[in-house]
Amino acid sequence: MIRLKGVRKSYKKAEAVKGIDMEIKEGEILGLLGPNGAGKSTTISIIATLFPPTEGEVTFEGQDVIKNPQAIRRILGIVPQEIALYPELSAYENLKFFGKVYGLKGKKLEHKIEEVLRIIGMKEKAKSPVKTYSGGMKRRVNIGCALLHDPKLLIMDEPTVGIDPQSRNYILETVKSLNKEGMTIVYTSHYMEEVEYLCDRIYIMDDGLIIANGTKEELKASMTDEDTFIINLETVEDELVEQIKATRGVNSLLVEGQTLTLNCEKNSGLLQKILPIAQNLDCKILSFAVKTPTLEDVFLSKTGKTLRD
Amino acid sequence: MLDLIVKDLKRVLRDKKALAIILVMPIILMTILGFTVGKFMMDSSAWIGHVKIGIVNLDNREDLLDRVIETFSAIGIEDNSSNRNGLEEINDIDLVKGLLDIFEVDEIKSFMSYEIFNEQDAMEKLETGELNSVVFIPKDFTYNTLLSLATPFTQRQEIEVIVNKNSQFSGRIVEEIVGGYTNVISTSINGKNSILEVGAELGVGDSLYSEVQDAVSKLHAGNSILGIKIEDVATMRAINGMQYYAVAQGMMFVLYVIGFFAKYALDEKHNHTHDRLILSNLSANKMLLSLGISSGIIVLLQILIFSIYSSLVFKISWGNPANVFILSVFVALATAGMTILISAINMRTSNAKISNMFDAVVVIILSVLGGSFVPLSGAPTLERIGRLTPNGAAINGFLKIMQGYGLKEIFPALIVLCLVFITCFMSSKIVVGRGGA
Repeated sequence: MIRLKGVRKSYKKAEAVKGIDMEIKEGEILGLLGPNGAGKSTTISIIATLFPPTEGEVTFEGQDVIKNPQAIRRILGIVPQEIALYPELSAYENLKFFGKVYGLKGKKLEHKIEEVLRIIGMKEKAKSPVKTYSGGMKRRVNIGCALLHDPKLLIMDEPTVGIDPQSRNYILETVKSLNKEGMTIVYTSHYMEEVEYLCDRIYIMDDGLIIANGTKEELKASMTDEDTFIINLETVEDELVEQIKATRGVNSLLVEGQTLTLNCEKNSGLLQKILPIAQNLDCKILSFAVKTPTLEDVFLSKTGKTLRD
Repeated sequence: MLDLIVKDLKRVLRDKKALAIILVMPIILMTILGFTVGKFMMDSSAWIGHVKIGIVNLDNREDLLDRVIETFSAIGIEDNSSNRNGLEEINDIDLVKGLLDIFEVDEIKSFMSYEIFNEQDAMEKLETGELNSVVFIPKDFTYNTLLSLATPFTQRQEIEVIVNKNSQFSGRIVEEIVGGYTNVISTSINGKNSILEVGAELGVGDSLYSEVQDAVSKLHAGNSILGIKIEDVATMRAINGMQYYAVAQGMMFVLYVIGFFAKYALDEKHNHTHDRLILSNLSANKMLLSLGISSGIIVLLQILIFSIYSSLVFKISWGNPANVFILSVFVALATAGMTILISAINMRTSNAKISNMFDAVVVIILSVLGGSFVPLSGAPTLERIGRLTPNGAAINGFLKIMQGYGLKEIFPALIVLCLVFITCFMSSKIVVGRGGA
């Protein structure tokens, strides 16, 4: 659907995007994961034709969107990170205004507003000024304004920043549901869990570069040759800690209260070795878990820093 | 475009801070200034500035001596060579110069100056406000005054002072000066006994005396021979302090509309509503034009509210409604041009420095130059500059309409406002053109 090739964006003092290749496939939810300042917003602004790249190509179904931005604009909905609404106007008035700007009118517009208000769950408060809404409500209207003209591609830039968990869940479910109806979605976030939950494919960005990409399974599989175990005990005996540390295959052991976190070689059969030790020392194991690697771990292993650094 | 305008209007009409500044503040200030400074200014202000007077001298001194002698002969004073020699001094008497000499006194010259004009030029300059007053010296002023002084017959005559209604107080000073001069001459006539003594020395005293006595007794009964007639220019109405400040403050706060709309434009860029509009293929020019039109509509609304408020509360008439509307449209046009330019700069620079500076500095400078705080009639150079400012031109135009002038007289104001629009609009094109807003 959309391809970026060698895209670079420089400003006077910095290079925000340092030559990236990317592909957005029709019908997918594509995640763009990275810390603040990674270049995610610049990348999606280039895709949305809000400004041209300094260098590189962007094509939409084979057409050069840098030369012909109108080609992509009509099928594009954008949900900026900021609340791109008029605070003095109500949700209804905002939707009506943006709908008209996109060429909708009359009954079609009214019907569409009604539908969008239902999707974002804002029917009851639609007539109050936006400035009186909670953060979550504003975010929902922010999304609604991008849906009025039935875009084929929806670009969402950190749409859940600073909102309560309930509104966040609502937005995530809305995104899923829109995608099910056929909408292609580009979702940027620095919340690893959101990207992991929503996205079919993920690009991880840092410092203007794409450092990894693929499905979440591919990304996780690529990053580790260790297993991590988390054991919760009723009581932690020094003798137990010493014996586990001495067990073959255990690379490191972290003790936090009654919780032990063990890093050990992949497929080392550690469970069979630890259970007898605990039984011999009469230490009761309350729970035992194998920690699967997360995208956070992927990011950590690629950059040496966390997403929130 | 209509949707953009409606949206912009809704934004400003729901912005309490904006409404407080563009509607409530001017109403409060025009009320306070009208009742305090305005009252002082129009009733008894010591501040009059530099007063310009036109003198129209219709006095005819040609063959003055011959005409005097001829008249003397006609009333029984014989014309002989000795009498003629005695009367030749009459040629040296110049009563008009006597009046002009008063205006040459240093203390008066410091705030008042005069020029000699013909009647037509003087009236034109009075109407355009270039002159504060015109003094008409009547025909045969010297001749008639001399006859009044030297014969028992008095010729009633008037020095006419016509005052521009915008210059009531300074006009009063001119009236006092001319009145003082005519009083001096009148007093001299009242003392014409001494002239009669001269007549007696010339050998005409006996026949003259009885008639002069009668004339003198009449003069002493309080009759004034020389008078001063004071008129206003044509039928134009005077401007009072309330009217002045209703217009002056109103036009100052019209300028604040510009800053608000420019900030709205920047808000749109910062909160990315601008991005949504760009993605809907709306051009930056269309967005700016909508801001300009919206600001113009708000200005029309402001002027309507100011005029209704001042009419109801202060009983002020703004003059011919059609002319008020036409001038208001031009004020709205100029404001729209400035809004477009400042908004374009705000969006181009992505900050509000220029609009903040406009509100904090430029509006104040324009207000001072345009006469929003005090009238500038006392500082002619500043006044001329002030009329080139949008608010100054608007103030001048509205005051003229209040006085009863027509479109012809407010034409210069309309031209200035139109030029402001064109200049700002073209400049905004340059700003937008360099990379787009």
